[in-house]
Amino acid sequence: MLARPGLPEFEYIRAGSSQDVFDLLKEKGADLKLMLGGTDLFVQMRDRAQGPGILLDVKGLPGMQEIDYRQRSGLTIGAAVTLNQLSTDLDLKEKYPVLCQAADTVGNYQLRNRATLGGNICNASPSADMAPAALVYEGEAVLESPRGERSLALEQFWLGPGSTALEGDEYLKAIHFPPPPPGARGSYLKLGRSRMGDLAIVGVAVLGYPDKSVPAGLRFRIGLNSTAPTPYRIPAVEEFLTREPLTEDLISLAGEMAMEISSPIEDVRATELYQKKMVRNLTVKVLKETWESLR
Amino acid sequence: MTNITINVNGKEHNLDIKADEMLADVLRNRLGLTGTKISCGEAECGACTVLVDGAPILSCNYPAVKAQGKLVTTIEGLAKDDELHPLQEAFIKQGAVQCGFCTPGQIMTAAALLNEIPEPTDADIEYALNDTLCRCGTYPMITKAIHAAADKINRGSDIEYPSFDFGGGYQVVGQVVPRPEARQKVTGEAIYTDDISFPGMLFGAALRAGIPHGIVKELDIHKALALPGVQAVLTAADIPGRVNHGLIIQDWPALVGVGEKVRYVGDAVAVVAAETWEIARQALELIDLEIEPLPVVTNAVDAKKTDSPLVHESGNLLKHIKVDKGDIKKGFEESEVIFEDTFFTPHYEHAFMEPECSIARPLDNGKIEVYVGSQISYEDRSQVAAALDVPLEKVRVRGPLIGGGFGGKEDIAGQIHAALLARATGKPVKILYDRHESMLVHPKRHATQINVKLGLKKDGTLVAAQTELYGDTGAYASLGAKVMGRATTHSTGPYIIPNVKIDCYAMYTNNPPAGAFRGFGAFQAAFAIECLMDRVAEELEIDPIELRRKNALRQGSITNTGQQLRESVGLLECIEKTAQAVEEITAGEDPFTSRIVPGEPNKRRAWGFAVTFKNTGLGEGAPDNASAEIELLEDGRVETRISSAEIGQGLVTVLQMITAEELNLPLDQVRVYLSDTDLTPDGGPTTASRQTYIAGNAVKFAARTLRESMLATLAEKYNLPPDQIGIEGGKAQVNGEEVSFAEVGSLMREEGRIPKLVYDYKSPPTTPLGEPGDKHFAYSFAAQAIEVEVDLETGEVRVIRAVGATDVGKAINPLGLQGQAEGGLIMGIGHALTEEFIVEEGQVFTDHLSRYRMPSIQHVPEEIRVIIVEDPTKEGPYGGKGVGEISTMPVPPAIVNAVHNACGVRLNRIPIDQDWLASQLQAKGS
Repeated sequence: MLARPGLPEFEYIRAGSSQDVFDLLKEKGADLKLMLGGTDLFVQMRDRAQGPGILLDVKGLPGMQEIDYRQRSGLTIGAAVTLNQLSTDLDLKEKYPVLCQAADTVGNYQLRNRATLGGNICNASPSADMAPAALVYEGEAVLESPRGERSLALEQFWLGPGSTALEGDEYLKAIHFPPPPPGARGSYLKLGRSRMGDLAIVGVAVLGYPDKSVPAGLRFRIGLNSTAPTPYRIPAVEEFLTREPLTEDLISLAGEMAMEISSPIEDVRATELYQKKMVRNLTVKVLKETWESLR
Repeated sequence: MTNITINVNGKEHNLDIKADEMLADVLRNRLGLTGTKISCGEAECGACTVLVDGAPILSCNYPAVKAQGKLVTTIEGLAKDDELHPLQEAFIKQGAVQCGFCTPGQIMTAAALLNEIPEPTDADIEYALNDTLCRCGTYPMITKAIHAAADKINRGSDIEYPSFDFGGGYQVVGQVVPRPEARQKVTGEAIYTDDISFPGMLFGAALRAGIPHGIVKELDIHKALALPGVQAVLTAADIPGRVNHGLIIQDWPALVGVGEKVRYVGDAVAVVAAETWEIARQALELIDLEIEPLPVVTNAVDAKKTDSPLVHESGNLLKHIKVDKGDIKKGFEESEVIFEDTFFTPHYEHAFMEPECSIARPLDNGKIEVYVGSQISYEDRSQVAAALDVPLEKVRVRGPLIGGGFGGKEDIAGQIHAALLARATGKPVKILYDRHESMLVHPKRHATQINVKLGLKKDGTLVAAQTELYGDTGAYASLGAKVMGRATTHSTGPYIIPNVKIDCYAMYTNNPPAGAFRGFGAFQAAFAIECLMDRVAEELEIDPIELRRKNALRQGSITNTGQQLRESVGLLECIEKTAQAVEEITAGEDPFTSRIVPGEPNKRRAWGFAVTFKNTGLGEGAPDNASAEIELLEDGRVETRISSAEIGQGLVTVLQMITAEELNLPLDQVRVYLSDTDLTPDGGPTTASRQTYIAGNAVKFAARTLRESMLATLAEKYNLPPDQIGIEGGKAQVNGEEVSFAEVGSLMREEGRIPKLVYDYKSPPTTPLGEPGDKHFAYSFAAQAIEVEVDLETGEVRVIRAVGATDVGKAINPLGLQGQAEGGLIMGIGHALTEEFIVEEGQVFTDHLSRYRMPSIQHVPEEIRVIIVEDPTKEGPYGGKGVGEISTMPVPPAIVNAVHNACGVRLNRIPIDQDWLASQLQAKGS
């Protein structure tokens, strides 16, 4: 066994236009990997978990590094916007604070200068830190191919660990978020492992907002990671919380429901039972905090 | 190949590079800017941080092609002309440099921070430096240095040295002085082994077994040999001399041959030298290796069972170590209460920031030079010479700077492989481990199972102690017998106990070998005894501090090995001073009672307490000597030479200070030269907290002898009694005239006396276990109090405050001592909360830094109080004794005891598992 496998040889190409990307995808297909920040990619390649012959850097494509906010249509974040860019953007801090908060929990400061929102979404890691926040803002993946542009809700974009709905001729151009509901408040809470690395054991994002059309007078969106094959929302719990005016007991029940729905895998880092209980505890905690901030 | 133009530190470079070349490789290998360090190669540790267009990035993971057209700033570009950047100056003066390997990354990250936030708060610093790792644990000093630099940049304030309430007492010794090598470390000029290259140098790499136990059936190297660019492929059959290496028992094959057994996954079966590193790697992949697996044994208790697979034919028992004192049976009969429990500690990884690197270089005169950052250069020389089957003088081992050791650089790593390849090819060969190989191959801390049974009177007086220890020494002996020996003698704590019986089994398994690691067995022992003592205190309703005070070793006490402690037993003073400081902080509240954190109904806080002791020096009958050479150079400066290693602990500073003290010389007139088996006499291993004491004494006496010789020369020349000649500030005063050291030197040379001498220091004798006499010539003592916060819902534990007192005999180098004390504490926090080296069925799970979490700046407590007790030894230099290891030892038990006090759950294993703790808390709650 090689204790030090090292990086395999590869070719690096910087795409100048989307046409470049389409041409290369068509020509090289299987041997090609699209790359944004590359922060996870090179680590995986060193371990030979990934071995593409060509890395196609799409970071420089037009619009990829832009954050565009419009009051009517909402927020479009270019796939190559870095997490540090994201967490310091003033518009974002005001309108989509949970995204900024989540960005700060990823890796370390140096890494966040290169790690991108698009990369975090495309890796399709069950524990992606940006995912719960992106879910509660109802993010959509904006995909570009020779067939044109299409948008796919993130829930549909993630298919399983490391697997996405990205077609062979497509790339992720941006993530789009509709304007948040008026009066929305929320937060992301991540529980790491004190032992062995800082991957989330559980991450929970909640966004709450007033809605007079439901008996509770409030609606909550709840996004989770690390406790199912993909990051996920829990619509049944969200719906449950609209049925009657909110109480602490109802929040506790919501926590229990979230725990039931979650399906974590036991590994060397944490038992299944612990992860499930932490889903409950964190869900209750963030719901309470959000409820407080809405009152 | 891609052509890029990058601007590095103001200079444009046009380069043809390959896509897989990372910026760190290009900076280091193409541009010779070796200040940028590669420590993990996986974007985890921050050591390789450089600025690209002003933003800090991890250059080990940043393809250089991406830097096209960009401005890159490295550590070499920070100082303007000769003037240090305020951060560099502050890092030196505040002691924020220890081994120095992470220093460039820390400084570059801090520089980016100060550009963005000119006046950062502690929280800003923590945010920016989160996961820019420092294994020496220098974080508190780094934080102070960044503030001091900001003050200078923003307000022009001078950067001062910190002051301490310990040390002092001499002109140089005890004063706050900078490290002599700190300037190189903050500017990127410091040279570690991988920073060295030679023309025509080849790159070596080893093929590892990958299977924890088995017989090599096939090993075919033909295809590898045929690969263009490969210059040698060697197997066991190519070793001309001794195949096995090992520090005490030679049972570890440098290469495992066909028909032989591999005993852990890291065993090497073949080594390759090639023109590039990539070719060497490809060659390894062309080797056909077939190993027939054998059943594995993976823990020490199983290894002792009669039906266990045998790791070595001689059996799995490396050593059974016994201690008997008094009458254990009678002791328990006389006891009014008996307590017993079993404790578990895992393997731990040193995770020194600098991975192992060796370069072997054949010289024209038939000698081989080996460059390696080793803790025992003379031992490396013997082992390399034995493998090559050449006389000792045909091997020269030279030590560049070392990026941390902690005991993990005592055994052979790539030294023998590099030497074999250099011999075979006639060319210099470099073998550099990456983090993965480092974690896989080098010896770890012994995993232990320790059963402790204590018999006491109801008033808390200890009457009897019986312990049984199992230590997992892994596939090879390394220092296992010695480590577990220290675990044995420390397993009943620093207490007066009339009746003791100890049995310890050091066992071979198919895990990676275990060897020396800061605390050396005594660490594991301290955890077990101190956790049980805390339970005793609770159940007997005695204050935990009072229980320790009552039983503490003091002057005149007899230890469990029958040694009478005649001097320098500062344990009671450590206990008192720690207790006082805690009382001051808690303002009279009982520190050991759980408190709710205001505004956080799910969190509880409480303090925990532990004491410990640690031997200085090898002890137990091992000769413990050091020789130092000193020379008055022609320019009047003095050079001190000894083979001992600077691994970040500050030995260069200590030896420079001692030389300067003895010769009344300004510090900058003293050069210290270490780790060169041709030019420096043997200082013995850098282990067992022994260098300040042993090498310190050798240097002290060498300097004194030189001084006498200088005085004698002057006395003759001026016909004066020597006591009428003064020496001050690098000059001799004779009859009111000043004679410079340079002149004294030339006088001596004129008379045919070379102003150079070697002093051989022999430490006081010790005796083996079971024989009367002293087992060790000195012990250090410590008391530690730690406040933790437990989250009752998640089971998370955080250290809030730490107060500890250590008896060091004499604080010789206060700035270095503070760094060792804080860094040891932080490593102890890591061992208690974040670190665990996991091996499953002989396969290493924690083979990346991302899976082995060493403490980061986030784990630093809000408040640290370092209290130094100076209860001097008669023999140690200026009264000093060892300090390098003890600061880590009492930390895990103090934390575990604090967790119990905060939430009522007792743990008997580390690291604390938040999952398990949460389940216990839930079970308790319901």
